[in-house]
Amino acid sequence: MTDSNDEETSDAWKQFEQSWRRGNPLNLWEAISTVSPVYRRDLAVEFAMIDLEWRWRLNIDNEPRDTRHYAGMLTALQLDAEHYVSMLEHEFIVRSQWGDRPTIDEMLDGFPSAGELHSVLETALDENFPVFCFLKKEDERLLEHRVKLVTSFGRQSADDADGKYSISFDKASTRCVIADANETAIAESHLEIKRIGADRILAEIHAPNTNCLAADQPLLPHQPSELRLPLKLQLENHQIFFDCGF
Amino acid sequence: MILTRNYESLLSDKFNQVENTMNDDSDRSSQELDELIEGVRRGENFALEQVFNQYFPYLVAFARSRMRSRQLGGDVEGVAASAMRSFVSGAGAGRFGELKTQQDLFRLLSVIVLRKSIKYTKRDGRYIHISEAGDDSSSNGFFSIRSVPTGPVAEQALIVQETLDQLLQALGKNILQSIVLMQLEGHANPIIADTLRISIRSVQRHIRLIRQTLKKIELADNDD
Repeated sequence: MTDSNDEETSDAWKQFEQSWRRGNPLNLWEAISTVSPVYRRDLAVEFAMIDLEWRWRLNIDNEPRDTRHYAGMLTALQLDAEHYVSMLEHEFIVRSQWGDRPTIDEMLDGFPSAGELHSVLETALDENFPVFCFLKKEDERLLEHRVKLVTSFGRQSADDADGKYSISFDKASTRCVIADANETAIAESHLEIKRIGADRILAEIHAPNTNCLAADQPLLPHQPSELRLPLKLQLENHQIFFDCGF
Repeated sequence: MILTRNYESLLSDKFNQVENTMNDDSDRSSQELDELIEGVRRGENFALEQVFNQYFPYLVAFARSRMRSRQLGGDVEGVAASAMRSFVSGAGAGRFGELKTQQDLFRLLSVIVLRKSIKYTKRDGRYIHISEAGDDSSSNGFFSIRSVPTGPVAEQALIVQETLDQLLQALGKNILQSIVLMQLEGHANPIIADTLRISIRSVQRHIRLIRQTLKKIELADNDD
């Protein structure tokens, strides 16, 4: 892209964004008409994402738009799979942040080649947005981490009797150990968590006497449960929050 | 076109250069740092003292170099102390969970100082030209630390500070500068978009421009 092309793209982008900020959004086709034809396709996809985002953020549609809507609208531009994944990923972030937090399955429902897109999208989200988690005890926020996969919660050493907690990391799974001030050794993990999708984890209680609730429902020992993010687990008197790290 | 994650890689080359030196020099594992931040959150004197002793001299030096480079006088130690107070209060409010290395902490504190020095000069409204010999006259006398730290860590830290400073000056006082500061403070793109009232895609586009500017600065540095 030459400097002049770059400039005309920047101008068009600025105008489109400003039109939304002023509450008088430009029509997408009009907005891209000022740039050279060769750049219109990519710019149309960008503007579609901006358009989608502002509609969700400002909550202005009775039927808010989704990627499917824009895919139909931009058919003539013959978008490729990469464009769709970008738009879907953006839609997922936007709706998680300002909207109804759909599942990936819901987003892809009825979408052409949904199966293929599903795995590409999951991989992209998993790669770009690691699980975020933090631990709270009686409203005191103890730790906060944003990592790809979180593994164990537990005391840092056996003689650390005053209840300090740590989280360490492992790419394979999330093992969760909560120790209280009366215990003198790091306990066996109470709970194991695995991320099994961009918006899902699998939780399994190991210790038979552990009281663990997910959305007020008890998790039973040795019975893996598939749970959706964002998630709040109540483990004894601790709360553990998991979410995508957008 | 696939979204890339927050551009924490911004300045990463420079920071990575620093990281090894800092880690070698005073290795602080993630667990130790967690403990330290936890201590600050709980208001433990030992942790507060440790952070103060280790980082305050750098912050004073950074505030001084920044204000001097802009020909501004002012209470550099006051700016550094204010940054330290903000850090302690932020840690107490449960922020800064992403700090994993000493370098992360240093970077965060540097950014807070940058913000404070910008706010200080704006609020103060007086641009005081300082002489080379007289810059300590602005000291409020509360803190006695006047010497700039020396050694490899300080040297490397200065490189980071200078690069940051150069980048911010090159970007000018506009939305790009705000994005750099918010990114370095660990805010996610949707939060930045919300705060600045722009779209996430625009935030990402600006980040690409920032990267290009940074690259130019690095190239110019290498040419020198």
